[in-house]
Amino acid sequence: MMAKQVAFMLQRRSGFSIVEVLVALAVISLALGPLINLLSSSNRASNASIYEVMAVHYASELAEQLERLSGKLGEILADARIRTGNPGLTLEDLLTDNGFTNELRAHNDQPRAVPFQAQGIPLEVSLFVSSLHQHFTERKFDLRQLNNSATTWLKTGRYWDVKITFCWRIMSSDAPDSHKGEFSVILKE
Amino acid sequence: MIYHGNRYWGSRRGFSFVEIMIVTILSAMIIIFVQSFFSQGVKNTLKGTDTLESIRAASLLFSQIRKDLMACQSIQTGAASLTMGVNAVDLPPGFPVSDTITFCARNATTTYTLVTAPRGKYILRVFTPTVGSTETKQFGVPRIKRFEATQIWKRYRIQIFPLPIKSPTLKQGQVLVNVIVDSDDRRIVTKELQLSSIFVSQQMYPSNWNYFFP
Repeated sequence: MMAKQVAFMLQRRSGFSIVEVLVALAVISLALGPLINLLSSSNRASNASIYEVMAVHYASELAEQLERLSGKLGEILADARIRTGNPGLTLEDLLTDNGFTNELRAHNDQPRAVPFQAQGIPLEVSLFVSSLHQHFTERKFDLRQLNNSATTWLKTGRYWDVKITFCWRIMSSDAPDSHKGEFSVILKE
Repeated sequence: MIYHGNRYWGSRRGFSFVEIMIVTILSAMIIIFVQSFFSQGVKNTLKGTDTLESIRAASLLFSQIRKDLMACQSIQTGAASLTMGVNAVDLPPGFPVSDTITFCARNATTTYTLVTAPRGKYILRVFTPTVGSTETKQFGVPRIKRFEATQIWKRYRIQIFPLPIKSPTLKQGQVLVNVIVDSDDRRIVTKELQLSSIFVSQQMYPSNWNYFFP
């Protein structure tokens, strides 16, 4: 019986039909899809890491300068109040000023100094910032005043949680804030 | 005896020329697409991994520089120093840079230098204490081309008097360190990557800790 089957298979001289070959090609094409996706996702993960490391780098640069300035923040704020004539100006107004934020997020070829601004009036104190990579779309500060009324040691002064936010996109088709990194530094005014 | 029951499996007919052409063209199209996609994908992966390696290595270097800066009393960058006025925001074109930076502490000096070796360039950190043996450490940033350091003295003014009386200007020291990475390798086509970091080398008011005051 077995010998007959083998003989039949050997005698059978027909090849694959065009339909079979096309079906096989379609199946191969479908199987390649996940492989291609795997490669793309690996690239995306790698690129995401690059920009995360860069964001940490940019943030530490700003955080260090803000910490160094913290001893002078009261005087800088007083300066801003003199220049604007607005005695109610806060540190939040200063660091989230639109003109200042626009300068922070600008793309330049070289590191540059970005002067603080108060209601559009530039002060004569600045932060130095590295040139922002083209894929980064945002570099800004957000401030939240900390409630220190219940603490025993830190009762004097105003404390701020300064959040440094970076947004970037990996593909040009991505939304400008498709990737985001936030870093915090606590400042005493 | 040949079985004729099935039109496809049983047929003794081979491929026609047109069929072979269609299958060949379709296969070629798929193979070319897949090959180009994978080739580009692998190239992008290599490039991404390589850039990530460079950025991570540069971050380690910057982190070590920051630590040395915190402990030092003065910085030497040779002639690579510039002063920026109160209202200046951009660095002047062609500003001086040095490929060596030295941090002088009370009992030691630490020098970072770009060294060119047959297998490529790297940054050498030499820690020389006044007592004890010298320690060296190599920072290999893949594909590093240049290492540049400059001291920037930025003038600033905090207005404490009512205008128009102008308060005196003060000067704050900062150190700009640039690491420029680029590739000569044709397999990894990357644009020049400039990684810079700015360190505050001086506080804005006199104190007796951490930072140096000339």
